[in-house]
Amino acid sequence: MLAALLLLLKTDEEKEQFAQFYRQYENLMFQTARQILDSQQDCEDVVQSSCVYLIDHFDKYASYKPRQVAAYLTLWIRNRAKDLRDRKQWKTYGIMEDIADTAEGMDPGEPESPLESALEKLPERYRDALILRYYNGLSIKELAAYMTISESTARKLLQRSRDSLEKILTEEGGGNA
Amino acid sequence: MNCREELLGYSFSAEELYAVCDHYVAGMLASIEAVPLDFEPSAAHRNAIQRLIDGSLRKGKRHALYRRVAAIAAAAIILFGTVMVTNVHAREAVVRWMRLIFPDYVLYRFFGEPDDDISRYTIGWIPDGLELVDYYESPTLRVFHYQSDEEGFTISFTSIEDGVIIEIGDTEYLSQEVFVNGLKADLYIDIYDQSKNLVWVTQNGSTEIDIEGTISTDLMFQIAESINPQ
Repeated sequence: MLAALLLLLKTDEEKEQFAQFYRQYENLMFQTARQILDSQQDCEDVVQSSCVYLIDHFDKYASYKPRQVAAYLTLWIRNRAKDLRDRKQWKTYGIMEDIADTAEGMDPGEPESPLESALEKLPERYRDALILRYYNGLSIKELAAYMTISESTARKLLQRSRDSLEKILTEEGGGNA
Repeated sequence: MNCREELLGYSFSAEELYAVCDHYVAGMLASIEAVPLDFEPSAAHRNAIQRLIDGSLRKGKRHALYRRVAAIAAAAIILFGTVMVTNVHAREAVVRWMRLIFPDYVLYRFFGEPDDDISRYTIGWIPDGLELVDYYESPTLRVFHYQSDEEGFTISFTSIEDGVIIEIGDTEYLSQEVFVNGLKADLYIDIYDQSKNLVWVTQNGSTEIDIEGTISTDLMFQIAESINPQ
């Protein structure tokens, strides 16, 4: 059904590049989804629907370093998986659940510095915004598209994320790290 | 403003932030990859991916239709706890949807199971000079894009399904409550490019109709009022 929407893989070479990319990262995408979703079908749905976006933006991240690609994919898949899980919870309970803001199933390990410690303590949405902007190098417009928010909201989100990071650092005496 | 300039005045630099993100991401990936996947992706899934990869066509006609379908397909959920909602508004006796008004966009959130056949809605009138240039149809979503050399509009019919969210606008807008064939509707006008959205829900509360485009408000209403279920 969604195949009719895909427009950017123009040449056989591009299609093969994406196919190769998909094979390389398929497991990571499924492992990410699986940490949040219970069923294989749900995981497959998330990966398939994510591929619509990933194909459309292939030119953006194809040149990333492998770890940057993995971050870009992981955050996208994780958020789509949470969307699906949350929709099902709403359906089950008929109310808007206050979903806990945690990095479920993802333990980044021991922080190496006060700045990394502060990064870990940020709300997930703030941390994602900082990673996508300052690690993956997304522009404000790209960040807005990635997070399905408006550009002005993306700017505000980044501002709040930076301010929150600074505040945690200051409170914990790690400023000027 | 670039990344470095954005960080002026903070106690951390772009390089430091990059380095801690790199370390954080490495740890996050290691923790994900440490848990083996307990299933093999199905053949049906692999086929679907291959179809997606093979489905390249019609470059240059992505415009509003693509955005619209992609937005609904993704059914993006906004984290209500982190965004300031200025108003939440539920309408009609049979409340099957809510309108959440944010400073620069509006979300329509739908509840319940689909019980309408969206294919029964037809557009009775199209302004002269506008032609159908692209469309998308599924059991739950039909989108049609009409275009002339100078202007165009997209009309979508969305079957109301639990959890579906539709976003209107992504910049500042003016909104006005109006009526389409006696049904309450909302007209949004983007204050920057004057593009408009006319949004309403059918009488039984089962289908959302949205006309989005740069055509005049008058034309938009004429088109809206020509839509009838068969």
